[in-house]
Amino acid sequence: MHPRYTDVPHAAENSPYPPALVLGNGLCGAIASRALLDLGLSVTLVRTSRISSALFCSAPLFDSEHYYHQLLSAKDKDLEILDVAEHPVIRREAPGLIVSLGKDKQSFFGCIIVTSQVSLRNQEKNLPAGVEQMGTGAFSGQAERIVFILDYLHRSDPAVGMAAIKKAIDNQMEGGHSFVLFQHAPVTHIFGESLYERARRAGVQFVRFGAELPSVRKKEENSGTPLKFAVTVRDSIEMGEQLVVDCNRVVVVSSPDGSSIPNWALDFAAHDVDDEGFLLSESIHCHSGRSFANGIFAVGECTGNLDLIRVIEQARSTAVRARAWMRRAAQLQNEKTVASSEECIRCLTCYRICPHSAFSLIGMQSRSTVEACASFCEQCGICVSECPRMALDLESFPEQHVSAFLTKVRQTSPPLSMVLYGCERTAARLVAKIELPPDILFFSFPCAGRISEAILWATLVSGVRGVLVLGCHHDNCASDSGTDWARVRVETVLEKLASPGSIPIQLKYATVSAKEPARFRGIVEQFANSLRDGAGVKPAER
Amino acid sequence: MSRVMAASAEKITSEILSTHGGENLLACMTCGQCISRCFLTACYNDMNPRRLIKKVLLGRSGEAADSEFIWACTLCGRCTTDCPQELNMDVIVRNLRALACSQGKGPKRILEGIEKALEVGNNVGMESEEFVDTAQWLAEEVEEEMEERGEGGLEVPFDREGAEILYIPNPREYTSNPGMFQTYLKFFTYAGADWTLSSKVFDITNWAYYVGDNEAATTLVRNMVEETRRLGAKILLSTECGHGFKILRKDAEKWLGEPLGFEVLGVVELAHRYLNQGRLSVKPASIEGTVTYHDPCNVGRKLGLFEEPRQLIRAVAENYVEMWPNRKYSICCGGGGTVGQNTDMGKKRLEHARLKRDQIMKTGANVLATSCQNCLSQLVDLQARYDMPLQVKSVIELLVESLES
Amino acid sequence: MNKPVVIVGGGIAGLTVSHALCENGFPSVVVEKSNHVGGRVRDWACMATHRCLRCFCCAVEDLAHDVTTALSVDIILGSELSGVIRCGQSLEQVRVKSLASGHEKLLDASALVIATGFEPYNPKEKLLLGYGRFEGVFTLIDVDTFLREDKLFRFTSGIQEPLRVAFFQCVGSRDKTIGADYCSQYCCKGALRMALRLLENNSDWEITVFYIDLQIAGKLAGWLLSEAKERGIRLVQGVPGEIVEVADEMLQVTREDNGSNIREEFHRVILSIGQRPPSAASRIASLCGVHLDDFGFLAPTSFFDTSRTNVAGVYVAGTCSGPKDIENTITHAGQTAAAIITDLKNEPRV
Repeated sequence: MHPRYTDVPHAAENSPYPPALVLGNGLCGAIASRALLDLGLSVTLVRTSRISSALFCSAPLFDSEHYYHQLLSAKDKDLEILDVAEHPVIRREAPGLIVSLGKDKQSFFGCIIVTSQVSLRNQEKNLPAGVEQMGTGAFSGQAERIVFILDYLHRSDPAVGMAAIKKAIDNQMEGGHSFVLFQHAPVTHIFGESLYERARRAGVQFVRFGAELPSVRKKEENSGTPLKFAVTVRDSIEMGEQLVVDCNRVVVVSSPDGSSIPNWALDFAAHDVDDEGFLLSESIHCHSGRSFANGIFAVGECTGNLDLIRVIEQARSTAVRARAWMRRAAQLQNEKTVASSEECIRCLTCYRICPHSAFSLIGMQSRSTVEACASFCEQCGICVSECPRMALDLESFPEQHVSAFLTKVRQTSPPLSMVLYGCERTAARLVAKIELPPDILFFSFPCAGRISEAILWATLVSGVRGVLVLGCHHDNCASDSGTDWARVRVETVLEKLASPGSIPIQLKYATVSAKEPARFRGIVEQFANSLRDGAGVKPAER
Repeated sequence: MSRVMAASAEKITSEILSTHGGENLLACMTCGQCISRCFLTACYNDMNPRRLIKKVLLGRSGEAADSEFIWACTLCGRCTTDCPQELNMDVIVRNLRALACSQGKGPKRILEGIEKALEVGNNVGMESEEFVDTAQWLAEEVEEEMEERGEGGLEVPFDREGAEILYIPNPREYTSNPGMFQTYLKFFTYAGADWTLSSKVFDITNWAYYVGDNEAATTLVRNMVEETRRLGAKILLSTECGHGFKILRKDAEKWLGEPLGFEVLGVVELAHRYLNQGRLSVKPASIEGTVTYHDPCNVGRKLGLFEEPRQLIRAVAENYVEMWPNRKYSICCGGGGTVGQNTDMGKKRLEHARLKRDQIMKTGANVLATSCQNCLSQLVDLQARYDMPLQVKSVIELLVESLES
Repeated sequence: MNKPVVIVGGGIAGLTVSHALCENGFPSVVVEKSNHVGGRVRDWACMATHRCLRCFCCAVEDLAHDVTTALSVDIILGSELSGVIRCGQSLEQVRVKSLASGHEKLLDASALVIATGFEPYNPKEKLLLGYGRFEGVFTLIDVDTFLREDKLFRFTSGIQEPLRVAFFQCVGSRDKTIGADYCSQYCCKGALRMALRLLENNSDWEITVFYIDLQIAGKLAGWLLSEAKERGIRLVQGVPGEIVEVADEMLQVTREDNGSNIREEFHRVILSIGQRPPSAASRIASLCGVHLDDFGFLAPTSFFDTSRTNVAGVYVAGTCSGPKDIENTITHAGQTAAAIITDLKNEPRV
């Protein structure tokens, strides 16, 4: 069993925590730095260009530039701010990361928090020049008639949407007239609804449109009116005739663009992104801010979060996890988790596929060796099962355990009907809640990704009638891809089994979560029943 | 010509906002709940409460005022019951009606009725002498019957100063449905009430309210209030009426800007009081079969008088069964808010009331009771139109039947 | 002697605070009124279809396991907070009472966290929606629990034909009449996930979601919306306010569809009910001196400090301080742990 965070022995701490590195030019970087400093950690904030941030636009309640300076202005001996020209390069060395911050400057950090900024999505299609985008700079001026358009080509970000509503109210209060065209009104937070209501009562005109998008036309230069734009929209309730609104300004409310995250940030986080390209796929590390690349955390805009209140919560929550992570990393730094034998051919497969970026390269020759850093290693065993030479072994879960189990299976008489494989996080907990009949045996792996093709083959010839492999749901694995590896291996074996001369045996892969004891029981029973019916993988017809 | 409040399509939003109860108009978030609570949604393809509100908010009040919908609306208020932003449809529709009237599009019969009420004091234009004669003649008709019962002669008191109760009837009682007047006469007699009529003020209705003519509506209310004060009555008693009673009870003090100085009661409330005081010797189960009760929108939803009529019915009925939904969520009969009197709406009101019909039929009751004469009239027509196997009675009618059984 | 942090509430928020503190070397005591940890989320189902849908319910399984096996966490079940003892400004001890025996115990406390969760709105009072009256009307939580127990037959009740199901959003949220004029934050995505989960095993069902404004933001939100559309889930703006039971126990609504008024029938209606303040809110507020906000939730200090309260040493975590979905609850609870550690001046107590 690999040690979980909570099992770390609570020895008195002699040395202070290593410093944390925060990367990012904007408000999120400042918020993250402050969160770490509040916990008593020392922080180096590295900026690569001028201060800017999409987040500035989404704070409806106060002056965010002032807040930025407030966060960082305290004469804090634990805060170092560096402005560098190039992006840092990192290398793992237990218990943390070595970061090159420029020529000859290499520093050690316990963890890194990435807070890179994002751009807003371009909504300019079919819009004339002069149409503004909410969030590209401070919003000022006392326009007379302003039309805000939400959900134009893409759903608007709710935080930016609410900021637009606030600006609409301000404009209305100053004697102007605001229009908000939308598909869905954002009402996040406990005050979202009352902000929206306040806007309606202040006279802001809300028009909900349906599938038909509003259109904006710019009037001719010398039309003699300050109302430069004509916006046409059809109310989705009233339908009927379209409304035409003449106005001074048109402001489009966009949403963050996942594809604008810079490559260096993606590299740091080992491309652990969600389906829109934002950092942190966040499967089970929900809002701990951890990426699968251990030691790397992410906060703020780069995670798709433009909501200032949520970013603050996220930053503080991430900071507390980062501190815990550094504690554990320090405790484990001298341990060895993955042993490598002479069989190793330095193909670097393990280095490439480790979901936790736990391997570091040693040596600069054309064929480096690799070493797993215990501080980063989750001991999932994916590397062990993918190594083409079977040169690796987990210290806490050696191959012997598996061989011993298989020996037991072979020796069981009468033969078992079924072997059940799964991970300790999910399958083991489900099995613990039920009574398996004596002809079914369960064996727990640290992660389903540890179930190699070789293990599957060995099990298939051990005398059982069926093997059921249980993994976590796709995108829910604690090691990101472990469950998918298990599936791929099962499918590979099944494909090979389907060729002529193969043995009649059942092999199946299913996904389940620890939340599904009833479904789990159903899957096991169904598989067990099909074994009793004598079905098997038939050889292909000639 | 009626002096309807002048309004314009552009100003209608601010008119509504400045009317008491209209201030939430802007707060509508188009949640859509009102659509399904309105019984007219199923009757009109392209109009419903939410749509109406949206038209006003988009500056299209003229279109809204042109629609038949605002005249088919009974002001039942069910749409905005539970409105999460606490809007009030009543205010919105009445303002739109005012706009329509100012453009010469108001229903003729209603506007004539308002003129008559302002000139003569009642919407049928009956002069005082004729009313007194009619009332006395109606009393004479049942005098023999009452004497046989040992109740003695039936005096119809007029203008008695110092009487506890001033009773104000609905014009139906002395025109199309005189049997109702006799029922109330009997009720007062059996209950030993200390009451009087006024020979000058004898119409509880307020059609001006219906069309958003607040000035005229206030005048009509003031007439009733001043007469009550003049006679020194402690109670202004409304007949079984909906809007007239509601206005006096809920709106009068606000409109006049002063306390009334007397109680406003409905005759069903009074009967309930008398029942609890033991003044009514009703016989349990004297009304055979099963009775169900229709909550009139004004008496029920708008004034909260749900239990009094039910207790009265239970005291006399063999069986009682509830409709579903009922009380605050009662479905409108479809006859209020000028719809019953508006000849333009004709028999459409009975088509629109099919939901109500189905609801009543589901109960299996053979007697349908209600406590509003508008509802009574509509439900009687509904019974006839759809051949419903039941009788329609007012609550006081049932009481009197029980007292006489 | 190192004083632990006392956490009232053993649901996902309380467990997260305890876990984060424990990871950082701070001991805690979790006081839970029922006989198990995990709170409401324990009874909710995994919404995975062919992939994880980020409902985050499984987090409670991981957390419950880690916290109950951790050495520096004590768990007291079947008990509630009954008193707070201060010495001047600082918190000294709390008193907890066993619900079964009434026996009270004093606990040393370096900090107190309120994590008592939320109360789901009971839609029975919305008479026109027929909850508790019509067979086919359920709440989101009802169906979630059926799925968890693999007892969907309690929802389908043996209907053989493909079900027509409607979700009604915002029941008990965004509603002035009940003092709940806020969005409950969890139900739009929750309904979409449940709809996709139901379709996974019943691809011939017809599902409609009636909403006011879809709150679609956060991880996987965009995908949920596009997947819903692709799977044929109808998304209709405008929530019916009345359900009528017609022949064969079908549930009928009259509504507007693209400008025309129509009548439509469903087999089943699922009400997306809102989050209300926990039933213990006022009791706990008066025990601790914590203010309640306008809606009755325990009030945090400000929008930039949502874990601390007006009382030094007393913190909030999770939905007891305002409606949240599970993602945000976990983040918020992490922030609470950070605030506690900051205030205890970074001295590990173990």
